[in-house]
Order: sequence, then C-alpha cells, then structure tokens
Amino acid sequence: MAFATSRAEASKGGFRLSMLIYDTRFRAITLQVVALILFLLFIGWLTDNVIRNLDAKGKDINFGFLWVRAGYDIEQTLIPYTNDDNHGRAVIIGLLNTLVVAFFGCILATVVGVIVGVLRLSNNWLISRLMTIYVEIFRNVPLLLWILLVFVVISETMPAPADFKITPAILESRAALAGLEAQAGGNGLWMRIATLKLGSLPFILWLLAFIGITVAAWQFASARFQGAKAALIAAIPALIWVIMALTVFSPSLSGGPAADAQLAEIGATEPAASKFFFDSIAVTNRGTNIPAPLLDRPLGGTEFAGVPVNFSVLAVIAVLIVSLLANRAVVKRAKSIQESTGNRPTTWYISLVILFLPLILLLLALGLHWEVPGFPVNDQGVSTGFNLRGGIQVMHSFTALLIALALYTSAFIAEIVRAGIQAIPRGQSEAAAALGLRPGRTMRLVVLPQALRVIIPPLISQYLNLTKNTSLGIAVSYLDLRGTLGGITLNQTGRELEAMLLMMLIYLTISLIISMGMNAFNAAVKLKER
Amino acid sequence: MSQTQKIMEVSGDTAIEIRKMNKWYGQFHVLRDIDLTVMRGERIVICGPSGSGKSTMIRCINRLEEHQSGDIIVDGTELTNDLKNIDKVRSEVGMVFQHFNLFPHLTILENCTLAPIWVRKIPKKQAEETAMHFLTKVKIPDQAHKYPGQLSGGQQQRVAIARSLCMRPRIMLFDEPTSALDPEMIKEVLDTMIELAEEGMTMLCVTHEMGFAQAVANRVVFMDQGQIVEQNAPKEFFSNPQSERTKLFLSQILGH
Amino acid sequence: MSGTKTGASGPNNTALWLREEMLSPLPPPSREAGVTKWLRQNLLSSPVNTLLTFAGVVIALWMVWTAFPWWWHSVWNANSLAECRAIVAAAGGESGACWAVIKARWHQFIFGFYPPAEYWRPVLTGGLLFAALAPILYWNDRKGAHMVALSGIATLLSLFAISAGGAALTASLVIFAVIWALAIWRPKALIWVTGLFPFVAVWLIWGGSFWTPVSQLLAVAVGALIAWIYLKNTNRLLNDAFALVIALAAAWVAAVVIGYSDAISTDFFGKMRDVTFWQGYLSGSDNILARLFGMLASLVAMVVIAGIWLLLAVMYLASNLLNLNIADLGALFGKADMPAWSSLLSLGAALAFALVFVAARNRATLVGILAGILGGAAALGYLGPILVSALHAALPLTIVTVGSNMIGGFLLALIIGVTAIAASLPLGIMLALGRRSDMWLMKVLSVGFIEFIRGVPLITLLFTASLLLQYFLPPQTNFDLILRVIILAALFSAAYLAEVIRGGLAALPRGQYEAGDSLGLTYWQAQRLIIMPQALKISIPGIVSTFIGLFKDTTLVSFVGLLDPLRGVTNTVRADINWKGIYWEPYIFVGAIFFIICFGMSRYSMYLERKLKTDHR
Repeated sequence: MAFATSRAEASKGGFRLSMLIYDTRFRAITLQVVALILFLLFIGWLTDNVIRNLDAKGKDINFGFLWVRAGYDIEQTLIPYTNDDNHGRAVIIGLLNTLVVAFFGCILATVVGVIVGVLRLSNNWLISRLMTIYVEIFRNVPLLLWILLVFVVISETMPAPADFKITPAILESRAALAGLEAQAGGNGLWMRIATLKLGSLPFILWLLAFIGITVAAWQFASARFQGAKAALIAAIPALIWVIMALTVFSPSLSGGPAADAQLAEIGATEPAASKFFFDSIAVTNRGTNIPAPLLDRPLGGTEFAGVPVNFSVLAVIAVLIVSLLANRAVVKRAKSIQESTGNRPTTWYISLVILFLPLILLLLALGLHWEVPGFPVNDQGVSTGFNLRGGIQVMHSFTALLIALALYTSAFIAEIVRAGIQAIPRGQSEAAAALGLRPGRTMRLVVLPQALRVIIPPLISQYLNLTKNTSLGIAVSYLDLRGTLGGITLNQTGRELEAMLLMMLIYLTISLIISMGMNAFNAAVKLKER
Repeated sequence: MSQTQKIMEVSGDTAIEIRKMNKWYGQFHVLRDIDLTVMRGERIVICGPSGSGKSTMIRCINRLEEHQSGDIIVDGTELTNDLKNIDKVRSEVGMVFQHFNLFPHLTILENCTLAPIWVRKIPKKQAEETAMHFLTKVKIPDQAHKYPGQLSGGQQQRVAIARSLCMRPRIMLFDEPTSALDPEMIKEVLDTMIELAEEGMTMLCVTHEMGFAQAVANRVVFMDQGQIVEQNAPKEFFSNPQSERTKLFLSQILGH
Repeated sequence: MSGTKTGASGPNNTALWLREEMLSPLPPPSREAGVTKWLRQNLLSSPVNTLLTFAGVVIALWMVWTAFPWWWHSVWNANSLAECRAIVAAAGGESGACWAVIKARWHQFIFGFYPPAEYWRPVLTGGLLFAALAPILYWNDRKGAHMVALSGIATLLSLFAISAGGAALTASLVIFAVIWALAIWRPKALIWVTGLFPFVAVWLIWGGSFWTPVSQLLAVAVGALIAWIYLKNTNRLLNDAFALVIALAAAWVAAVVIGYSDAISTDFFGKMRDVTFWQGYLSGSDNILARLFGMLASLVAMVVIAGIWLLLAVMYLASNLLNLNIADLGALFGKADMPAWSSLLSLGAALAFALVFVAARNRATLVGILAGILGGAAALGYLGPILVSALHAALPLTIVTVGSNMIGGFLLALIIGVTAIAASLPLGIMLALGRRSDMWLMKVLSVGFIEFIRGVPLITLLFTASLLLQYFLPPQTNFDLILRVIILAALFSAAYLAEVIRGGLAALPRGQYEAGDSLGLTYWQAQRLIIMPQALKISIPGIVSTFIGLFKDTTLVSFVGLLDPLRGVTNTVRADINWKGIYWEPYIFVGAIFFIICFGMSRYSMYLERKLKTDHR
C-alpha cells in the first residue's frame, strides 16, 4: 500500500534530483555508485603513486629476477637445490619448507590437541586440572616466545657432537669395571636389590607408576573375576614392574657390587651424551640426527621438470593406496553382511593385515634398513672424526618451529575439541543409552558425528593459522617462503614490490584453498532444518 | 506390598519391582525408600511438584541414574553394576524424553533403525520394515526420509515414541513427554500414547496431563520430597485425595 | 516403613496406599561421603582413571622435582651470569635461577631505551589510560571514581618506585585529584577525560611542544562547532548558505579528483609499456617447471594488472564518450593546465554540487560530520602551525622529544596493542556491517578486504608497513614506523573482529531487526540502539580473544626493527657480555607478564559475559 502511494507520487512528480538520495529505489544505487567511484579513485591513486615512486627510483615492475642465479644456500631442501639455481627455484624450496613444517605441525598439533581436549573433559580431577594449566599457559603466551625458547634451549643445552664419542679413557674405565666385577663374582640378584638407589627421583617415580598400575590392574581384575584369580591377574603387571625396576635402577647397568667410591675412581664408562630411542636419535647442539631409511634394492628414479622422481617412493605410495582401497572394500563388505544378516563380522585383524602386510613385504623386498647416525669407530673401538656421520640431520630451526607451532596450536585445538564435545547435549547420549547402545558405540554413532560438525570448521581455521604462523620461522632463520622470497631474495634483488606481492599472493592462494575446502565441508555436513 | 493386585486388566506377573530404593546427589537425599511394584500391562502415571524426584525415579529404572541402596528388578533382571544386566534391561525398556532427544544427524528412518541394527543385530531391511510399521502407527510414514530438524515438535515426539517401539520393548517409560510441546501438539502425542496403552503396553508416565491419567492409567502415584506419598486408582485419586500434600498439589494443578 | 495400606478405609479405595508420615532426609552412606568418596570419584573411578591419575602425579612430581632446586637457588643480586653461577655453587646448588638479570635490566624490558629521566611520562600515561577507561567500563557509576582513585594511587606508587622527580609527582597528584573530583561530582563529565586522553597520551610519550596537542584539540573543537552549528541551525536562510558553501566545496573536490583521475588514466597507458612482468616467461630457461611457473606468475600478474587497467580505462572512456564540449568550466577552479579536460569533469562537479546541495539543505547527518571533519582539518592545516609557533613564542612549554626508535619493551607492546585495539573495534564493526549489507558493492569490498587480510600472515603486513607502504603513498611521504605498524595491526585485527561480530549479528533473531524497523528507527539508529549492543554482547568472548591475539602479536614488530620486549630487548640483553648464555630467566619473565595480561583479559571477558547475561532469568 505504502509502496503503491510512493510510486504514484513519484510518477506524478517525475524525476527529481533529491530522489537519488531520498528515494529508497535510487538511494542504494546512488550510494554504491559513489562508493565505486571513490574506490576506483583510491586504487588509481595507489597505482599512480606506485608508478611515480618507481619512476623516481628508476625501477620497474619485473618478475624476471626469478630467473636470475640465486647464489645463496638453503640448508634444508626437499628437492635438489644448489646456489647456482635461480631465485624461482629458491622460492619453491621455501614454499615447500613452509608446507613441510605446516604439514607436520598440523598432525602433531591435532594429536596433542585432541588428547588434551579429551583429557580436559575427563572426570579425573587431577588430569583435567593439569590439562587446563597446559592450555592456559600455551594460549596466553606469544607463539614467538615458544619458538625462541625451544630454539635457544635445544641449541644451548644439548651436548656437543664430541660428547657422543667413545674415547680411549672410556675404554680403560670399562676394562677396569669388568675387572672389578670378575673379582666380586658376577652380578647376583641380591646385589641388585641391595644397591637400589631408593631416594632417587627416577626410582620414586618408578615406584609411583608401579603402584598406579597395580591398583588399576586390581580394579580391572576385581570387576571381572573373583578372589584368587583376580589377585593373580592384578599381580602380573606388578611382577613385570618389579623386574624392570631391578634391572634399571641398579647403580651400574652392567651390574656388580662396586661401591660408589670405587665407581667414581674408575671414571665414566659411557660417553657424556647418549642417543635416544634405542640408540638411534642423537640431539646435539648443532641439530637432531635421525636415522635415514636406505634401500638395498632401490627401483631407481628419473627427473621430471627438474624435480627428481623416486620410483621406490612411488611404489610405496601406490601400495599404500591399493591397501587403503582394499581395506575399504573389506569394510564395505562387512557393512553389507551386517545389513543382510544383522551380524557384523569382526574385521579389524583383516584390516590390519591388509593395511600393513603388503607395505612390509614391499619394504623387505626393497631391502629397507636404517642408517643410524654415529661416529665411525676404529679397530680398538675408539670413535674417530669430528661430527656424527650418517642419517639425516634435522636443523634446530625446523625442530623448534615445529614443536612450538604444534604445542601452541594444540592448546587452541584442545579448546575446540572440548567445546565441540560439550556442545552435544547430554540428552543425546542418554537417549542412545536408553536404546541400549554401549558408551563406545554411542560415541561413534551418535556423539562424534555431531561433534565433528562443530569441531572441524574451527579446526581447519587453526590449520590455516598454523600455516600462516610458519612465517615466524624468520625468528630462528628457518628458510621458508618468507625467508627465501621475502628475505634473502628480496634483499639481494631489491625487488620489494614484486617479492612482497608474489609472497602475499602465494599465502593468499594457500589460505583460499584451505578455506574453500572448509566451505565445501560445511555445505556437505550442514544439519538440515527447516 | 501387593495392593495393586485388584486392578482388573493386570495380568499376573510383575514387570518392575522397586524395593527400598534410595539415591543421593552428593549430600542431597533425592529418593527416599521408594517401594513400587508394577504389574505387566499396568499403566502408571506419576505426578508431583517439580523437584519431587519423579524423573529421577524413572531414570533409575533404566539405569540412566545409579541408585545407591535398595533393589530394582526389571522384568526379572536385577540392576547391579553388571553391564550385561544393564544392557538387558535397557533393551527391554523404552524411554521417551521431554526434549525428544532425536539424533539430528540421522534421518527419521535411521533414528528408528540405529538401535535395532546395532543392539538387536537385526538385518537392515527388516529393521527398516519394522521402523516403517511403527512410523505408520504414529501416523508419520511419509516423513521417514526427512531430518528431525524439519519436523514439528509433536511429530518429533511421535518419532521418539516410534524409535523406542522399534526395539520391541516390554515396558515404556515416559518422562514428561508433552511438557515441551505447544498445546495443539499435545493431543497428537497423547493420542499415540493412548493407542499404545490400549494395546496393553506396560507404561510408566511422568506427566501433568490429568485427562490422560484419568483416561488411561490404572494407578496414579503422587510423589513429593523424593518419596511416594499416595497411590490410588485415578478416579479416587482425583475425586478423593487423602493426604494434605496431594490436595494442595491437585488444587494448584487443577485450579486454573 | 511408614507407609500403610489403608485399603479398608472405604469400599471404593481398594487401591489406596498412603504414606502417613514423611521421611526426613538422611545422610548418604559413609562410602558416599568424605575424602574416600572424593578420591574414589575423582581420581580412582576406573582402571583408566587410576592410570591417568598416577601418570599425572608422576609427571607433575617430575616437573616440580626438576624445577624446584633451580627456583630455590634463585639469585637476585649479581652483576653477571658468571657471578650468579658462583653464588649458586657457593650455596651448594647445581643450578639456580639468575633473576639478577631482570633486576639489572627491568627498565629495558619495560621502557626500552626511553630516557630514564622521562620514565614518569609513560607511567603517567598508563595511569591516565585507566582513568580514561573508567567512564567506558563504568558509565555514570561510583565504581568509575574508585577506578580513577585506584589508578591514581597506582600511578603515584609507580612514580615513587621509579624515583620520579617532585614536579612529576605533584603534577600527577593534581591531575588525578581533579579527575577524581570530576568522577565524584560530575561522573558523566568523565567522558571528556576519555576524549582528551589520546592527544595528551601522544604528547606525553613522544614529547614536544605542549601547544601541539592544544592546537589539535582546537581543530577538533572547530570541526565539532561547524558540525554542531550546521546540524542545530533552524534558520532557513543560514541553512541554504551553509548548503551552498558545502556543495561548492564538494564540487571543487570532485573537479580536482576527476582531473587527477583523468591524469592517472592517461599516464597509465604510457607506464604499462614498462611493466615487463611477462619477461619471466619469455626469458625462462629450458626447465619446464620454470616455464610453468613463469606462465602462472605472469598470468596472475596480468589478471591483476589488467583488472586495475580495465577499471581506469572504463573511467577514461566514459570521460571521453560523455564529452559534451562544455569547455573549460574547470578553469574556474584554477586548474587550466590539467590534461584532457573532459565533460566528465564538468558533469561530475555539477552532479556532486547538486547531490551534496540537496543533502546539505536537508541537513543530512553525514554531510554535517563531513563538513566538520573538513573544517577541522582545514583549521589544523592552516591555523595550527601559526597558532603553535605564536603560543610557543609567548610561552614555551616543551618536554623532551623522544624518538620512536627509543620506545621499546612492554611500553611499545602496550602502545601498539592498546591503540590498535581501540582503532580496530569501530573498523571491525563497519566491516561486519558491510559484509552483511544489502548493497552488493559494499559486500564485495568488505569480503575482499576481510579475506585478503585473513589470508596473509601478519608478518607480511608488517613488512608491507616497513617496506612497501612508501610505494603506495605519494613520493616523499614519510611517517613514523610505529604509526605505520599500528595502522597495519589495526587493519589486521579489524578483519578478524569483523568475522567475530558477523557471527554475533548472525546469531541475533530476525525479530530484533524487524522490531527496530517497526519502531521507525533509521538504519543507523537501529544498529546503534538495538542491534549492535546485543551483537557485541554475544561476541564478547570472540572479541576479547581477538584482542588477546593482537596483543600477543605485538611481539612480531621486532621483525621490522622495533624493540619489542620478547625478541628485541631479550636479544639486547643476551648480547651483553655479562649475560651471555642466559635464556630461561628473561623468557620466563617476559612470558609471565604476557600471561598475566592475556589471562587477565580472558578471565575478565568471562566475568563480563556472566554479568551481561540478562536474557536468561
């Protein structure tokens, strides 16, 4: 009605200029046209300034610098690179470094974050408090601090490579110890018990763990079995624990009655530093040396467009894909059996075999073995050389960036996971329970499918944040995209404008790809409502 | 203990037996010495002021809440910490909630077949046939492939009833099934419940729908302060309440 | 059992069962109460829980056991790390915390290289900040006065702590006494303190003549006066005169702008030839990847540049197509030397004149505000320097000028954080409204801006501030690096805020918008009075966590050469020969301060959220 009258009036009076501002039909258009003109002028003004500034400096816009010899080295490269390669390749190396740290960071952050988030919800008072402390500490302190702290701590507290060496002095001490042990007549069990270091922290922690495992085993056993049987089952882990305690906490691992004073006189029988994880990973103040996978019978490789292609790796990937497809077929078959008979066949062991056996067989056929980093040893058993040989040296800048990013982001992911699970009303799991579903099934069929819809969008935006935050690698001189394109290349060529624009464009592309994935996911899982 | 035996339609055996059941929330004594025997085929309406422990009591019957002393025996199975007993009871007892608690990520049909497939191990096709049967019974077969969010409250509650029925329960618990509904939707849900009652289902219903109680119930149980105060046949209960608390409650609820 | 079967009480009551005596509540059975219950329920409820508990105890114990001796052997007085270690060793410890470094260098962590004699200025500014926040946090409330009093006391104590001079102490005392009195007797007038604060703060921190902030304030007053007179005026004749002046000004601006854009577009064709972005592809090596990349890069560059070029070309073409030969109207504006005078110029100027005149005659608020801003800017630009030099000659009130390169530490973090936070909130609101606008163009521009900013790391924006901004501004423009960083940080956080506020707006029921419309409120009134208060309330947690993120991100300014507390100052300290090799202590100190501020902010937002929850019960 109102519309009709205003229209009538308008047509009566014809077009007046004030209608451009006060008539609802024209107002929006007028405003947008004015805004468009202003926006275009703004862009034009910026462009004009750029042109005039470039003129004044005698520069132009030229991306040709990407094909000029780079001339700088990059320590960590995924694909071959030397300082004779051009800036373009250096940029790609940097981009790959960004993506590598982002990829592993996302995985690590998700694992830690999900564990912390779930534990924070547990009804265990102590654990939920500890997890709250973890989350608050990592959330409320700048990421840069974590990067710097981890970097400084691992580069300054870790031993020098020389500390891993076996020196002639160590060999002498070992001989002396062996002599003492032979004198005392071996290493009896009573001797081990007598020499337990009862007051030491590791022993107390070990004891606590022992008590905890025993209590848990008792709780587990008493809920299912009666009397002596329960006691027996509860005692098994306890027994294992006692044996382990005796073998580990005896003062000298090689056993023996030597008193502390005698041992001190003999001197160190081991190098000052030792490798972790079954003597395979050495963390020094220069980097982390990890074992490198080597193949006896590699399948060879070729090069495509400057990128080396390794057929062995391709074979592994192909086998993995085939295994995954086969596993999917197995699961599908299990589902169809369930649909027709009602009973779901147990498939987890078939899945396990299908997923891992072909891969293991392939790796065996290729002759996989690990090259463990270490010092070469001469015929007396004394280490030679100045640095650890073999394996892969991971730079501390990468490690620090990875650990800091993962821990920092995991705190946010933990909050997302917690909020996602809490967002599902209690009524949902109650209804499932009332229908007779066990807690595990309730979680899998009812709670998780709903919680994931809440969790995944913010989770992906955390991945995005993590990816963008890899640019903080500059603090520890990690040569990522920002370090190469936005750092050394920019400084060497003086092409600020081109380098910065290209860098922003690349980051923007990564972000847009990730958020496009997120939007597609959101559209797919959106709950239908009217 | 056997004051209910004279109710006519009730067959001989006991469906639920609760003996001296007590429950505490922390220091708060929510349920005090509950004694209740429900015969097979009996329809019981439980009423009482809010906070009187009605919901807690029926939630104890399928172990959504744990009781701390006394016995609950459902269909010959005693509720203890034993998971097998709990599973057995839960698959025999259906429950309808105040807020429906349908699973929003599943279609109506999937809501109805989820438990039969995973708990009863019924082939999918058969489960779907059963589901369609009960959805027809609650008069919404045409909504089977919609999602709960697309249905009205009354329809959702009827789906919830059908979902419980698909497990072929011998006992149905209703926890204020109509109090979250608009007035015009209450009737459709109550009609479904009345139909169910006419088929001889054992029902325990927490509700304030006094019309429903008079039409369907064999017995009305009045609770206050965590204890059963008065039980009677519906006619006498409403016309001739005995205790002061019951009179007060009825005057408040029927007063307007 | 107190219930009784009273079946005999009447012939009809065959089923009656009646409780005669109510049971009183009993305490729970002993295993349901006390410490054992608590332990059983919270720590040992299941085997998994037991394992978790013991794992937690083991981890916590290990951490305390490792860190405690280090903490216990803290050294507070030493001149170097070596001395620290000697003291710890003398006390029989293996390792000990050397807090002496904090004691020796705390002033750098807090003030950077700010001249020590002037420390009172940032301290006073910090105190005034809280006084300025008082009316915002507690509008027209006694608590505002308490806050002023507290911040005054804290300021005076801090001034004592840094042993400030008597003059600074007296001045601060007087200033806070006046503000406090205002808060007591005229609590609403406290908002004037908030309005004055930015000018005073800039002057206090960077120093210079006292008359500079005075002249700036005067310019603001002139602008406000113009707007006020214009908007309040009811005289028809005066209104028309005003409108004429404003419309003439608008026409002049339009003419200048159009002439300028014409110049740009003509110029641009020439410049395009020099842009050899395709060179990469042409000069590429045999390497296929290099060629692919070159193609991609030049394609993207071509699309971007072609887009801009297209926009300008359309303008250029329009200006020539519409050439109605109303020649040289532009000469009126004294710009006869402008190239390619076109009809667009005359037309645009005339249109701008007409539109603005119509709007101005109707006393549109926006026109009033713009007129005020223009008037104020004119006053600042033309009158300001004269006024400052005249007043300075008469009464030279000057404090020492402190350059931006001397400001560092938490002072820098707070300056950037607080300013960017304050600036980003209104900007974020505008962007959120733009994104939800019905107008297509506003939406596209807002979305483009938000997604661009959110798609790139803050570091690249900071580098833009330090390296690139000079390219986008007219030649020889150069302004302070801190200001540039603040602008980019504010833009960055505004984009994130916009998304948070958009979430809040989307969560509001439609009825709220309809209610606003049905009450006859205009768009802006409805936004201001109904929509925004509710939307902001819903988004408080998100807003505060954006602020926390921004505050943490202030540490990144060290990458553009500013002296932030974390990397800038700590590196300076660690580079000192006396403290070489120290790392835990400075990082723990800086981290702890960040933690306190950020954790405090997040707790405050939770408190606020609870307090503002008015819609439920």
